[in-house]
Amino acid sequence: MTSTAFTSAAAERPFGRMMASATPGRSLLLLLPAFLVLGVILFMPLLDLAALSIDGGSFGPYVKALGDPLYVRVIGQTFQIALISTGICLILAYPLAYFMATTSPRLRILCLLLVALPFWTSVLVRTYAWMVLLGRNGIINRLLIDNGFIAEPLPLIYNKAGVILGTVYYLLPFMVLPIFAAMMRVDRQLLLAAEGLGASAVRRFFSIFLPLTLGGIGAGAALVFILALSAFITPALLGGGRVIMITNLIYTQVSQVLDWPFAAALSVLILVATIVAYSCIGLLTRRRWN
Amino acid sequence: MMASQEGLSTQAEGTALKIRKVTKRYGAVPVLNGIDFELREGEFLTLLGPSGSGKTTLLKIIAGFEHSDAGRLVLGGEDMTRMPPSRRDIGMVFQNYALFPHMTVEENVAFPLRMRSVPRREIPGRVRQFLEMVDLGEFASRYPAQLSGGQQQRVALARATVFGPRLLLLDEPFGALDRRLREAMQLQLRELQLRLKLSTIFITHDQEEALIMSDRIAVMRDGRLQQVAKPEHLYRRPVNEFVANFVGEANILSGTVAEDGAGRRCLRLEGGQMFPLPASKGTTGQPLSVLLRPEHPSPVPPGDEPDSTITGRISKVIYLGTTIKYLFEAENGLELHFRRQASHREEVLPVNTPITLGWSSRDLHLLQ
Ligand SMILES: Nc1ncnc2c1ncn2[C@@H]1O[C@H](COP(=O)(O)OP(=O)(O)OP(=O)(O)O)[C@@H](O)[C@H]1O
Ligand SMILES: [Mg+2]
Repeated sequence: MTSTAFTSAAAERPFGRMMASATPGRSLLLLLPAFLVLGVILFMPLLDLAALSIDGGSFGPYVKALGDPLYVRVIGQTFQIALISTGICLILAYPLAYFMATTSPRLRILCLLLVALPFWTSVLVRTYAWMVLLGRNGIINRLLIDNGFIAEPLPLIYNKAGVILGTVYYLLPFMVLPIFAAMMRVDRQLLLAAEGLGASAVRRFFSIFLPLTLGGIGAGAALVFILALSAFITPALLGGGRVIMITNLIYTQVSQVLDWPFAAALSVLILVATIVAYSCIGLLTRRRWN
Repeated sequence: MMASQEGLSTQAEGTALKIRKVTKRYGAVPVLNGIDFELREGEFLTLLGPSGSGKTTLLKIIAGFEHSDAGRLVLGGEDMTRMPPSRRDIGMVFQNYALFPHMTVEENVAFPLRMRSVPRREIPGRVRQFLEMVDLGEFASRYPAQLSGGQQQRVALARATVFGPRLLLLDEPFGALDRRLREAMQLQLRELQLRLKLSTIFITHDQEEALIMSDRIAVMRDGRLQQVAKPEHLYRRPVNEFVANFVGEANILSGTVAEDGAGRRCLRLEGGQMFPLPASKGTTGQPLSVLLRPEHPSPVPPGDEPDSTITGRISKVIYLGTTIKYLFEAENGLELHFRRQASHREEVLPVNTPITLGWSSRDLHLLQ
């Protein structure tokens, strides 16, 4: 399985082909440094964590996480928020990426800069900015009240909608960029060919363009979903303690309750969910054709 | 320069496509200039011209991917100048094939049928029939990336013909193939085209390919049509120097019309030689160019007296196996190409051999 992946990737680039002509053993050697570093700083702590979660040979922490309605609700809510955020990101990102891929090169660069702009400041600062904007006494509520549109401030944050808004805002670039890249790779000639063969605009989109950009959608969705599952700052600030996600729960278990095995079990659950989500998305959007 | 066309009004078959005064410019640059010709039902017509002469642009306008600035297109009696490409029912083969990479060979060929809402039951049989026609029966479930260039080409051909298009357009389809594959594909395409009686426009800038394949050839230069004619007509009676040089090899003799002592019309070259002309056209003193194909001048055997002769020497020999190409230089510097069939009865003439070449005035063709 790895060998076919290797050869098909290698066939695409001259450099890859050059490397493939060396023995596979020698090119695997190139992976060694990264492998060592990852082994030490990632896999060992992970194993440690897994061991901690079944400390004393009992699955107690897992039973607690998946049995207690309180925690089941937190887990459910976490997945719900991650899923909705991913969906909204996709709906927003696809047309935006399409615009970027089809517009003039100049406007494209400008859009790329704007999309990447949030990366230049910390998530914390940006999330506080949302609070200034959306809070009880925030700019939006103040404007609406001062102009007599409403009497009482609207609950714009400290609820699920607020957390989803913040998450979407934070993760949108992770959806836009892979989809944009996939769209740039689509050969325009294929769309012309389809048109000449009798396909209407709608059918060109669903039969040609969408399938050819599915890989980008998959990559974007996987990134956003996984990052949303493990987002911490956004729910902590915009949820205001009322919307609790798994990460916030882990934090309280570690820093206040000091129930380390339970925190470890929750972490393992996120990890498993991540792997499952990743595989599912990968299977759904796999390119079978090369 | 007027494009000359032969026998359009006397044809028996119907007209598949009429192209009327099509003009196109990109910015200030005119790319097509009053293109005007007709394609007959079931005809294989080749657009031949050097790079940048506007062949692809014309094909795109016919397919509907570009719009002409002026002029009309009439397909089977229906004006389609502004019709969207998806409704034109034209099969097109792109230079780089443009196969859908995410669909199997079968799905690619079924695509135009699905777009036309052909009943589901009928699709597999029809796809199979066309795949077999291009010898790809056993490749039906492969993806394009798993095929060779020639195989991809044939999938593209099947996809462009499976739905019974009113017109088949091909833009240098064999450009990327090696010589042998190219020749095999030329035969296969022509066979398919004849079997399906497809009205076809084919682009190439390879004159040999054009001569082999076509019912008629349309020669283009700088966005203008030079001549539309049958291959042998184009070769024997090109309208101008450009066509003469572009199709086959050519000796062009330029001078003025003159009269010799016997009162015959002659061509007088700058060096003073006089060669009799085939027809008594033109007035004395008028500038004129004539074409002499390299197969016509030949060494004059003793006792033979052709009406035109010239003496000089062989200056270059190119041995091509079945033919030998010679470059001849006359005493006064005039250069001519001539060609001999290789034969074991005739020695290859070495460079510097003194020689007298002769031809008949009937071998000359007057250019405009
Ligand atoms: N989109 C475009 N914008 C501006 N100029 C163009 C465009 N497409 C083609 N041209 C110009 O129009 C002219 C004709 O181009 P076209 O592609 O039709 O030539 P061609 O005969 O197909 O040549 P080739 O044999 O190289 O394919 C060229 O000078 C080209 O530079
Ligand atoms: Mg071209």
